[in-house]
Amino acid sequence: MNPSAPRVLVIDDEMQIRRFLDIGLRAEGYQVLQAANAAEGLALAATQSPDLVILDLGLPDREGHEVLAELRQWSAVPVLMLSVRSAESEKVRALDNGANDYVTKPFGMQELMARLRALLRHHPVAGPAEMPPLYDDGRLRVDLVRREVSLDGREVALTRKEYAVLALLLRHAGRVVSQQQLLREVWGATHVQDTHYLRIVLGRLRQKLGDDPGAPHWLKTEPGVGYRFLEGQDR
Amino acid sequence: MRELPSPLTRLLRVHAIDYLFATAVTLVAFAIAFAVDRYFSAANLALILLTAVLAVAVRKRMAVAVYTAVLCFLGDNYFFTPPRHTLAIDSIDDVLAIGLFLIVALVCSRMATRLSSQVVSLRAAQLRARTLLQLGQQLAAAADAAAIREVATRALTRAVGATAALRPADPSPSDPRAADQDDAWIVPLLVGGHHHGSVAFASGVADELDAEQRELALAMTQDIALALERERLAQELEQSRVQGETERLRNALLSSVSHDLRSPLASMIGAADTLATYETQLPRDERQELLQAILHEGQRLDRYIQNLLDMTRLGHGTLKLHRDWVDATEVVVAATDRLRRFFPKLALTTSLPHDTVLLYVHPALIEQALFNVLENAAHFSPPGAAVQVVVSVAGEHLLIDVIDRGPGIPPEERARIFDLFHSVARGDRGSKGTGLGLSICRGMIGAHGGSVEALPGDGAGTTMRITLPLPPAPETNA
Repeated sequence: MNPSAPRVLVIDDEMQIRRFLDIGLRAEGYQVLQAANAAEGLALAATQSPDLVILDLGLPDREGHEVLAELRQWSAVPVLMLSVRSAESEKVRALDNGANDYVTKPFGMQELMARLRALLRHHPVAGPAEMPPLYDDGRLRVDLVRREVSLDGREVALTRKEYAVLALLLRHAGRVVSQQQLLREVWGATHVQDTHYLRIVLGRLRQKLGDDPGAPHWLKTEPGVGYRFLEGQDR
Repeated sequence: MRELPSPLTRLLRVHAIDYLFATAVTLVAFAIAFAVDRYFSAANLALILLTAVLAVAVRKRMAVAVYTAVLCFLGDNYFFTPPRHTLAIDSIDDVLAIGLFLIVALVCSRMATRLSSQVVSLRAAQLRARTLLQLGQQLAAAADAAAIREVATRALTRAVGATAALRPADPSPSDPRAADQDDAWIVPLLVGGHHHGSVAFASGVADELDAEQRELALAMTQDIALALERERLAQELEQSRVQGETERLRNALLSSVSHDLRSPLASMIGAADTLATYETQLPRDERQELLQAILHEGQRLDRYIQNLLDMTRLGHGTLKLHRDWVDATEVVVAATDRLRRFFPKLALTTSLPHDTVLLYVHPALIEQALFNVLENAAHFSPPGAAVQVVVSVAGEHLLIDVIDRGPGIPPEERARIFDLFHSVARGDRGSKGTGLGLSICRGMIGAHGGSVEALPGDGAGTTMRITLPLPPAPETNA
């Protein structure tokens, strides 16, 4: 095995899940570390310094949220959570507590791998992601320095809020941004409950960018959680 | 305990008043007779006295009337029949006249008292009928046993003019009310061997009531007992109905679980076993086929379990709506995206409103409800036929139409497809649907004040329409 391959730590109490994750991850060329509970997982995270952690929210010895909080005290390693469906509030809480992304159980291997790639691509070892000041995929061009947006060569006039939302999603391209984070950073901490602001701005952004919500090119809704700016690989 | 007058004292007091009244009327009559003595003959004076007898007779009992008649007879004889101021009578004519006066007075008083007592008893009967009718109406309107008891207590208290209390069938021995009312008049509430407690009237009431009132109170008690019995029977009936329903649902659930959990498991076990046994001999595409089968059956199991969980939440009333503002389009897209993952070959088209339509709903529940309708449509669509989703705004409502080109639903079935486990009831033919999805959909949409209905399709197929109320537009700061 290639010793420079990224190392992924899987913390999940389900042996079968660890087993197929191990097989799948190794098939994709990752090195895999496994832990069946929180204590083991935190110990491995501290001693082996993995490049990415896959953390199940339902662990036998401690709550996933606690593990995440403890991990975040001394590590900025990207964390991808596993959670069951109909627990949107759990996902949001974990994202707000420093998790970087999530997948819902049961999940497909392809979806998981895409998330892992996005996390590893954008995550230097520490600090917030540094985005190049210019995004250009051939159709959409966003100049984060001059605050200019153009579509197919034509300038698109965005309101301040619309631009702020787009820029924030773009800075976290490929990863989910929770609606609370969007509301807090664009409208301010007193407006985190005013989700209708966000819905309306997203609706207008999509209209102005000609993005079909049914088959989004850039702005994808993560139901109940937030939004994600799609990169080329995810479309 | 307060001192009550003895019955004899009370009897005397009542009678004394009657005789005083009779005496007073007689005195007034004689006063009039004296006043007109010089203008009229003695025979006419007797008529004035006769009037007094009648006046007493219609108001008082027979004995008082007779007393008045005798008093008037003696007075007439003494004062007005010659020779005056003696009880002797001179002329044979006068003997006849005064004799006839006595007879007429007695007959009249008898007739008059009978008539008045008939009027009184008629009035009593009318009062009794009205009271019973009123009570009957109030009892019929009472929704439950507690309401019946309240109505009954009020009506009884009004009817007897004293406190009446309904006691439960088995008052606890420590009940203080039971202890200090030993001399209360207690009437049991009994119907056909079922004891519904008793009515306790305040102490002494029994003595103060006349026969009429007692009878009325007893009749009312009987009505109240009947009402309580009717309520008990209605409850028993409802209970056995609920039990029957629960039993039916449990049987349906068991057959659904055994069918819908087992068949995907059988496919998965079979496919995995085949792979494990013949792995090396199988060509690559057959291995893939078996693997895909395991994958799809697993996903089917997951959806079924999600439905069961949703159903439990709906059924236990623990479903809490976490409402949030959400773009209708986003909910529809989330559901169609999920459907595409499970039915990659399905031709699914969506038509969405151009403008942002905001809903104030629990997004995950609406998405699940729509997904269930979509999944149903996908199952019943023939291969290659399109499923259309048309989202539109009609006044104060959002309409989500899911149009399939399947076999359609006969009109008489359209309401029943939302019944729990409906498709299971049709036997193995309905194996594609669990009979849970649409029922859950209706529950979830209903919880938001919306509705789901099956409309006849355009030609073939079915249009399932979800209607959701639109909230008033929120203020915006965009």
